[in-house]
Amino acid sequence: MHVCSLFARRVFNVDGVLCLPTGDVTKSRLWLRVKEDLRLEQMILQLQKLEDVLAVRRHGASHAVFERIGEYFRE
Amino acid sequence: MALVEFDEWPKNGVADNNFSLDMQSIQDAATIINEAKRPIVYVGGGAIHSEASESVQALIEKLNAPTVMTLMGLGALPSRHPLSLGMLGMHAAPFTNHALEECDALIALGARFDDRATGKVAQFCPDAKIVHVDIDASELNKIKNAKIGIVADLDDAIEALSPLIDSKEADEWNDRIEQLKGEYPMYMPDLVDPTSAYGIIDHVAGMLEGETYITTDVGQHQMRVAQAYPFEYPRQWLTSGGLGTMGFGLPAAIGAALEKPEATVVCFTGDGSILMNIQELITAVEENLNVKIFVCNNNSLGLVHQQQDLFYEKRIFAANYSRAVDFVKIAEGFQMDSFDLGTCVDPMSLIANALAKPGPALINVPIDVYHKVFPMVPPGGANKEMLLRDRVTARTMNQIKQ
Repeated sequence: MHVCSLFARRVFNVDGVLCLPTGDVTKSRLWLRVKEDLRLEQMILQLQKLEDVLAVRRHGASHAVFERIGEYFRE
Repeated sequence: MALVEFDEWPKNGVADNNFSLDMQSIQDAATIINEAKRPIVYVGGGAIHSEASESVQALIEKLNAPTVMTLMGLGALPSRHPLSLGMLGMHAAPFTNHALEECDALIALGARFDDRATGKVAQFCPDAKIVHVDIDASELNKIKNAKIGIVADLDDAIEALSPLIDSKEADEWNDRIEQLKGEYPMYMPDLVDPTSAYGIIDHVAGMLEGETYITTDVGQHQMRVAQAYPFEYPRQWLTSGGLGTMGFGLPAAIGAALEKPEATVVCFTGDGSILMNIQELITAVEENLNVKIFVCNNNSLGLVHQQQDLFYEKRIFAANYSRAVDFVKIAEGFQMDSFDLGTCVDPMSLIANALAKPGPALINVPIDVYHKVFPMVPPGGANKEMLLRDRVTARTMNQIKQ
């Protein structure tokens, strides 16, 4: 989708991607795990410009979401 | 095949108008502007696209502020306006880049601090506080940190800002600008000769009457038109700007002529560029459009040739054609009136005839490939390091390389 191609064309690596519909069937939530680099501010501004993106929220590195799902990805 | 009926065409897009102005930022911007001793207004394509040129001009005049325009901003202020310093950046007039060195407040209106305009960013307006107005939040603080950034439609922003700005009379800063113009003038060689690279632009401009539109492709011809053409109003100038598209000029001229059938549309192009969309000559003929195509013909990719000659030890590669295309013959093949300045006895009459006769025309203008566009800021250089025509020596080349 547009979000992933925005990161791909700027070669901004995304370590983890999670996407599921929310309770409201017309909306999905997308979690991206990325390195906190100098370009992140600009990426967030560019994300906000995308037509499909309603809101962007930034969370700390220690957020549980990838930890918990991570269990299903262990080798 | 099927038949479709509908009541009316879909409506055109309408601009979102959900911007609430941050009045604190507007006030802070006004303070910076009022306290500035040496302000310069930097106008970009945003002013043209948002149709804010009138408000911009009123603001500039209220402030008596010298104004620079980007390639896409040309026409926001008439080129001959007393406060206009013309285009800034890579091919700016020498006094323009020197003026920017000395400014203490840069008011950026609808401009994005592109590298062609700024040169080496760290050395662009090093002592200036920047007030940046743009409709796109992601442009603020992207290249240069703005003291005050305002996300807004330009007209709305100026409407809020203007009453808070003090009128200024012309003062020492304006005198300094005149002094700089005297010390570091723009030099356009052979302007009086209608068959020279700058001369053709100047003479065509002088001979055109009524409503006119100017389109270009990309390259030396484009830069010369940007430097030399006396633009008078916004949207008179149509060029691809940052999208740098050879092949843009002729189709854009056709579009302009279709929309403005009473006007004369001049397409300045190069021999390289015109080959990229040459088939459109027939479109101009079929629609009998008032499109006048001046092919600035140096039988090469001029700007590439210039760079290779200046910065790559004259290693010319893939920038020179070994055979010369006969554009006059091609235009005839497309049933277009064609003229050759190279073989004519009276260039002024030839140009006058080409412009006067209604309908499309192609005029071949032979140019010497070793005539370069100056000034030129070398790649990676600061604007003040611009190369001037008479100062290009081997030593300068070595200094820049270091």
